[in-house]
Amino acid sequence: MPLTMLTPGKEAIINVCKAKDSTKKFLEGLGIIPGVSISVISEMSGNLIVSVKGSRLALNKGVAGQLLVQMC
Amino acid sequence: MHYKFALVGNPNCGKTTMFNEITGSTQYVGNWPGVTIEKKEGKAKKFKEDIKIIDLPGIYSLSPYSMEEIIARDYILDEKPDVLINIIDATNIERNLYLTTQVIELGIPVVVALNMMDAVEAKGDQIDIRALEKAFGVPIIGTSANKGKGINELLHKALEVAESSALTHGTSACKFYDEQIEKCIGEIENTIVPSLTVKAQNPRWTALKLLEGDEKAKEKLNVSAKVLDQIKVYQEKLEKVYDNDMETIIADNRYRFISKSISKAVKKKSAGGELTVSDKIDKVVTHRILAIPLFLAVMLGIFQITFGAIGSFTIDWVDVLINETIAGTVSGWLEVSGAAPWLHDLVVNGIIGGMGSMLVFVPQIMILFFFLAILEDSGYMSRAAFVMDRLLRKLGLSGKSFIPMLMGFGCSVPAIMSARTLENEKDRRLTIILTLFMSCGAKLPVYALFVSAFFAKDQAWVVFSIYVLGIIVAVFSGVILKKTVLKGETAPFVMELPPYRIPTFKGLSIHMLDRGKDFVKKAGTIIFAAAVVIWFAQSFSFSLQMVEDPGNSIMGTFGKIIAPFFAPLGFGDWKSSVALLTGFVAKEVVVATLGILHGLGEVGEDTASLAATLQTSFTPLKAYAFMAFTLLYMPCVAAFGTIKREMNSWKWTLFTVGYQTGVAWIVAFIIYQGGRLLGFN
Ligand SMILES: Nc1nc2c(ncn2[C@@H]2O[C@H](COP(=O)(O)OP(=O)(O)O)[C@@H](O)[C@H]2O)c(=O)[nH]1
Repeated sequence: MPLTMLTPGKEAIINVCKAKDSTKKFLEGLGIIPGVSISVISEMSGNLIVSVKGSRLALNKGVAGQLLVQMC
Repeated sequence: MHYKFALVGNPNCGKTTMFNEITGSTQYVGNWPGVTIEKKEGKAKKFKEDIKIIDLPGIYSLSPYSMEEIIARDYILDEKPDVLINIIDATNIERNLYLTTQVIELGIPVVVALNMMDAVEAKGDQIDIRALEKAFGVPIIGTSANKGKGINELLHKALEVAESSALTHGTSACKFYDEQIEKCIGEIENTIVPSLTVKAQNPRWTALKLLEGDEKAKEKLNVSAKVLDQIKVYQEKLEKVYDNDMETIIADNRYRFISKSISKAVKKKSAGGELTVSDKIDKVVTHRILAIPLFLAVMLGIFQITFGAIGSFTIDWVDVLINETIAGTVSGWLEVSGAAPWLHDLVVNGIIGGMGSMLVFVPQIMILFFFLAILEDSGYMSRAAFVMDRLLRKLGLSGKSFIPMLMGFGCSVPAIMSARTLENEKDRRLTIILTLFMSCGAKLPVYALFVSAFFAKDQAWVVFSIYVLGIIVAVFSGVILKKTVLKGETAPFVMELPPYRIPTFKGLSIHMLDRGKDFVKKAGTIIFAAAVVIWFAQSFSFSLQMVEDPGNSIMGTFGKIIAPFFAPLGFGDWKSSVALLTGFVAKEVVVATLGILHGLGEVGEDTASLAATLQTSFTPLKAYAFMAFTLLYMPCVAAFGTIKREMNSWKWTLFTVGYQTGVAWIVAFIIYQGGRLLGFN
């Protein structure tokens, strides 16, 4: 399911990143790659603040929807 | 000996703080990515050796996708610093080490500074530095940049490494990948790399980049199609084994190596997972309903203080200091020493008056930058960008455009520069164009003059309406430009939110004083020259005779030629035309020119008497159209130069300036002609 559907407070594993190459590379540098666990800290009309590897990242709805995750 | 050390690290790792500690220079300390993109250099103080320190932009990885990454990588590969000092935020060690793996692979000696150790200790976590050193094969020193701790040790280590590597040449690269990948890298290194036309300086790194399919590296190495086919075999093999694309496989391998090393070396007191203080603050600050009102309240507060009572108090104070105390004293001296009248006029009216018109704003601009620095250093700025993203996206912009636009209310020059944080070129161009419609601080004196003359009762509201007009024009421009010349998808918003921190007094004062210094410098150079030129052009005729009536001066003659252009806007007199033209030097000069041309600027004459004079040639409607034109038309020369540098294109720079002036003309036309039709005067 897309990350946008993950309920805040729950943790999931990133499965696939469907963003375009440059975004994907940037996300890799920030720790967002398949196999990594991610959790949603808060949500604001679809835009998310997530926790990945201990750091906090803000993602807009568009990118969040391109990250497919799997509940663990 | 001469040495060159370069600082690399993630944004917010404390790099700027470290740079200032090492070099002892007073630089701009920023909190959001991009601030350090300018190449900053310094010398290590306290060392007898000649050590040059270069501050590279804050980056998350060395894959060449953003401007910052390309700058950093090219610098490292082309300039070959003696040592790379990789600064790591120890509170966020896992993510920060990703860059470290890439930095180590470059084959240049690396020393790691494990920064923010004080914060790690405060949390009760433990990091086994020796174990990490062993895993990564590089020296690691614990530091706390903001307390100045560990910095000497770090530099001594770097110096030691520099001295020893000068003898040994190069370091044996640490192997981060699993067997299968290492085998492919080895084979490429031994068979393909030697056959390249461009000789590779670091065969292992070259092999890795080829395997990764790094576009920039391929370009630089001038790789033939045949070589690409050979590489493809390896890539396809690995992609099949791991069931993923090559770039992800490599990234995943690096993270795996890091996780493995970390699990042994880092002991966290708390398991993580619970909400931190920052998270709790964010729940409120980015709350669905509260976020926007909170944001507006913060902005309003800053504007109230900067442009309200406190700000205007500082203006009056400096005004008295310059135009009465200094001008009076100098005027006295000149009279006593019997200077020629023209010299008296040049010094008192031209130079002191002209520069003074700009200097009165220095304290106010410093106050504004003080608040912007608090927003940045505390971590709120990136939250504000996040909150604004949804709104700005409707205009085809990203939340990151918000920071430049906010800074635009202070001064366009740093605002335009801060647009570098946008990855996408079209987004960057659009942001720069729209930022220019945010009324910069230098335009305020123009409004102040006109509202005091024509809108005495509703001063604050009229000025406010001008600011709003700028925002409205920006919104329309955003929508129109995005649909026409700057079509394209807006880059997604991805931004790290650093933990909230209490800004340090030192950091804030560095910010503020730096800004103040910039302005004083500007006043001392550009404005000084402009003041002299303007004075000359309005005192002399083309035959170089000193004239009594400025209408016959060089400037007057020229003004009469261009005046018809402004006639449909309500201010077709030559004095206004000339004033607007001189605004290209700096916007405050508009007021100074009006003052000089209306025969004021004498000691003791103040804005009140200029306002009275203006009432003879303007009406409230004309005054409003004039203010609107001032708000929107082409930027000053400093901003112009910055636009050129940032857009890196004459075509786009001229388009920007032309667009602005065109829009200004149309808007002022609508205000004046529309106002007349509606019966205003
Ligand atoms: N606790 C702690 N804070 C630090 C340390 N070094 C820097 N900081 C703070 O971290 C923030 C970001 O630092 P800055 O130098 O602007 O980071 P840059 O983005 O990497 O240039 C600032 O608020 C600094 O005061 C440190 O060693 N310990």
